[in-house]
Amino acid sequence: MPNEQSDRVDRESHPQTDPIIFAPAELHIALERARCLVAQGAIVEAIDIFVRLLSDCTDTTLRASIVSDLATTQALLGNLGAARTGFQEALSIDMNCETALHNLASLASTPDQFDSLSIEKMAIDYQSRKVLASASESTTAAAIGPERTPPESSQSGIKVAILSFLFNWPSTGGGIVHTVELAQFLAKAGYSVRHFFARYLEWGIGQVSGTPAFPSEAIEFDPADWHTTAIQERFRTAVDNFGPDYVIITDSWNFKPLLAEAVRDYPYLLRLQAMECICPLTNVRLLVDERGQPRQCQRQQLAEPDECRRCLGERGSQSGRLHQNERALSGVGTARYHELLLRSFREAEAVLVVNPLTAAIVAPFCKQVRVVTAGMDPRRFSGTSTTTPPQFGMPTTGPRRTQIFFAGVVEEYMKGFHVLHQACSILQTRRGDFELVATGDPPERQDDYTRFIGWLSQDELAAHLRTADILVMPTVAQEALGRSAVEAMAAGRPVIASSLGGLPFTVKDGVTGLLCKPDDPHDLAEKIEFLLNNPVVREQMGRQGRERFDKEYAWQTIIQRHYVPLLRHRRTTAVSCDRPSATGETEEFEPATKPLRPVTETVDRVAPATRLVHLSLIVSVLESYEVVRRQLLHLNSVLTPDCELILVDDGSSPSLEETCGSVVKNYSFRLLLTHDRRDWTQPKARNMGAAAARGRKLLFFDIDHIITPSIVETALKFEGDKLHWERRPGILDEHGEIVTDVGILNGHGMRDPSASVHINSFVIRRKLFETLGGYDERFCGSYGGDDVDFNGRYNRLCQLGRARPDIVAGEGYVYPDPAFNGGSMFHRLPRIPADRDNIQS
Amino acid sequence: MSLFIDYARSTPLYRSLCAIVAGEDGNLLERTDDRTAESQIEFLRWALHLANPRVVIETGTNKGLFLYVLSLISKGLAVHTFDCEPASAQAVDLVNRQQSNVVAVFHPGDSRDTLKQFDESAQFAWIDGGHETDIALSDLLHCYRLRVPYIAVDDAAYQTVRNAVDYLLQHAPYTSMPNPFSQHDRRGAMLLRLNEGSGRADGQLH
Repeated sequence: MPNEQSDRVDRESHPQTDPIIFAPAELHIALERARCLVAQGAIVEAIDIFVRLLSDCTDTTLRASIVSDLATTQALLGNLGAARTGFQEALSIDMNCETALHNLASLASTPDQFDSLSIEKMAIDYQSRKVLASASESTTAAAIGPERTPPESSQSGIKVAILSFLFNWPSTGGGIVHTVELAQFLAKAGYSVRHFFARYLEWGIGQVSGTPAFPSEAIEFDPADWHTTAIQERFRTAVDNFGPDYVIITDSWNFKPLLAEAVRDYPYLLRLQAMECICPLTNVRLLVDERGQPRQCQRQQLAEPDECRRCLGERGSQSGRLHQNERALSGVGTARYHELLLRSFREAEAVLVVNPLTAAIVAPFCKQVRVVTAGMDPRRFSGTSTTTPPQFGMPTTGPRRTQIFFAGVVEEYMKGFHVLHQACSILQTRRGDFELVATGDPPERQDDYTRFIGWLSQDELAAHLRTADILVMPTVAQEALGRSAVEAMAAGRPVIASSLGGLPFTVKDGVTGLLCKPDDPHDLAEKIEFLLNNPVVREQMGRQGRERFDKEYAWQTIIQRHYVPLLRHRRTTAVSCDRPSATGETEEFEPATKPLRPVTETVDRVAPATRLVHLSLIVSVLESYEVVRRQLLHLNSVLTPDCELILVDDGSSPSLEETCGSVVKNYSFRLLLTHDRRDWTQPKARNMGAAAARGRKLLFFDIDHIITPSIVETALKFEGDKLHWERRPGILDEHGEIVTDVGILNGHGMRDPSASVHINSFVIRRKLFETLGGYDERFCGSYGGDDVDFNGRYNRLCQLGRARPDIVAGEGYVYPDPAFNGGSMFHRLPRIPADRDNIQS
Repeated sequence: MSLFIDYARSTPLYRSLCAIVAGEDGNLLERTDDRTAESQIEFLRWALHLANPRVVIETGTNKGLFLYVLSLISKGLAVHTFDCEPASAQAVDLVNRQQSNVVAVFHPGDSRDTLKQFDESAQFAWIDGGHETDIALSDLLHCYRLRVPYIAVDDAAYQTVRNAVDYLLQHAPYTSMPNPFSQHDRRGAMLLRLNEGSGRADGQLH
């Protein structure tokens, strides 16, 4: 059965300049390649191959299969009618074509209207049914080899929470489109994604119509709980309930640092869509001088908070109501806000920005900054969409004029429509072969050379770009990306853009378009005229733009290139057990994807789930029962509510469960059992403790070291990477009190009363511990060198500038000599039975 | 010709460096007219006096003649130099072996990639990595990322390089300082200074 529509579209979009004759073996390889491209989302490229294959293929079964594949691509592009016709055509060629049968059945229950959920299902069906199809299409299968189900991605099961504070759908801006597409494409890549957003109707945020095509959860607020503490708590609770491995904080303007504060125990990424948090006034650093002329600001809030505060004082009232409100809520301009802002950048796993300028601005303030441009869905620009662009005011007679297209809010000063209109006015005095088409309202002709077509939906915009000849972005502000410029590239159209903000990084001058001087209509007119005079250059730039789009902006590429390397660890297996490479480069560390060893955990008394733990104390011990009992008693007077103690029983027989159970503890406590009786398994025990820790800082100590309130206080305030402390001789009496009497200490083998610092007792950021890969467990079995090895790797990171050198602060105590008198004063100290005072109620 | 240039062009090290087969662009001493050479070297002395650097970044090692001049007019500098030209490694090696005033570290590869990995504090940069706007802009933005207080840009007489400088001046807190020797400098070297208060807020690398 002929398929006029899809056939026409395919031939128009993919002219066959050089017919290729495939040999049978090549044909099967090419077919496999095309199917892989479909699976990767490169639909247009796949169609090209399918069409070529079809012209060469004479085998009926194979031909039906290819027609079915082509129909599937139409479904994936949203052309369900064409897809249905295609499947029917495949069945008319071979009534046993199982893929076509199945997919046709799937489509029977799907309305013709574009529905992303249906399409996703179709794509999945396409993959799964191909397995069956290969069985029946024996000829093909024999030549191609066994069909493969899509391999389970390494991302499977990794949970990602996306937080956005200012969300509405349908979109009110490019940042929101980005959030939605990020969620969709991460999910498509195998991540388990959940999106959380605030709904507060008084501000008009969180208004969503329809069901998003991914799990999205509104956090409802009313005026009574619309304050930062409640907002942070509610977001935190929602995130805790989901239990993500990573959090991505997207469009939230100045509220980002407060969301980061709420989830700071999770590894999080800060996504900057523009210059939010850098420019609290406009997000684009645009100022207007006293003559009404635009002026670019070079300052930034991270480094110059006082200047930004002063600017806000002078100009803040010019902002929109929502922007003013969210600034006030966030506390922008206060010392507290600036402290939070710096910390949110410093503690982020990575800050993702859209262009190298923003990267340079924020780089000194964060651990890692990555230029991750906004992605686009190539399917929107495939050239096969049936959406018809609006043609309001289009002349019905006369030769077609070259269309100069402007996509943006015409009235918004920063978009620079006034500059473009003036440029066209200059041009109009010397030629009449062009028309300025803009997304202005009302949709009607404005003058001889200007036509408004009204605001366009995402699909209409894509369709209109295909009918335009040149896109112009005359913005006078430092826009981060220039979304319209990317969309024009996707549609194969050249772009003329201001040399401002991120645009010079989006538009390759002389390759995919031209850059012009900002706010200079004469320069812009010159650039437009050049492209009007050179249609061949336009066509070439458009083609190069599309190539650049495919390489740089397609979502699949962005996810693989940027997000997969960042989102690769499950949180519970973050501590690697393998020795890192000699170079100390974390990139060469063994990815922590190995299954977690079985852990037997005895939960004695755990803090309520809502309590945030900031410091996890980890100590491993083999027997030494009485010292353990005294330590547990002692820590009652040391640990604060934001601390937890993890004691790892390193193979004691009998285990330490009874000893631990005999002590009433007023702090969060967990006992882990290694069940490993080998000599020296401390590396394993410490890794196990770190894996179970909930605090973002880890405090490791030995059981003969005595922690004091001074150490805990210092550790909680510590914002560096690694902290040690001084220890003086001391012991714990049977009540857990510290004893420093010289005579008693001499009786415990004291030879040197001076203070010392120990390599094995320290505070370290958990993320840094994970970066180092934890302790090397190959040292287990015999004592020697695991602590030296660990510190050596840490020092290498310091040399690479990726960690800060350790510091010494705080004072504690240490038993003079645990081995004194054969250990009878320490390891073999007689156990004191639990008395009534010590029994847990 | 000045006595200094006469001397600089007479040493065995200079001759060895000129013999290296690398880029054909003009540089501080070779394939440069005397007035330009003299004004560029005076410009460099002036810039170094202001910047008082310990660590210097150079993009565009080429035949190592910037390193060579630096070794003649300064002492105790570490220079990180970037170039994709393999022969530049030989030049850096020669400079390191035949003088002791500067120590050069060569970073082979396209500076758009290699400079990205660089994260050391530097007080002065000499940007001479290429005339394309893309390359110059990337080098300049990396200097801004590192908050290099003084950046000297060679070849700003090329509009493509000038476009990159203009972009930086428009978007980053740098100010162009009038070059006292510009009258005779046909290549248009420029010195950019980072404004006060726009450096790192926390004073820490990471």
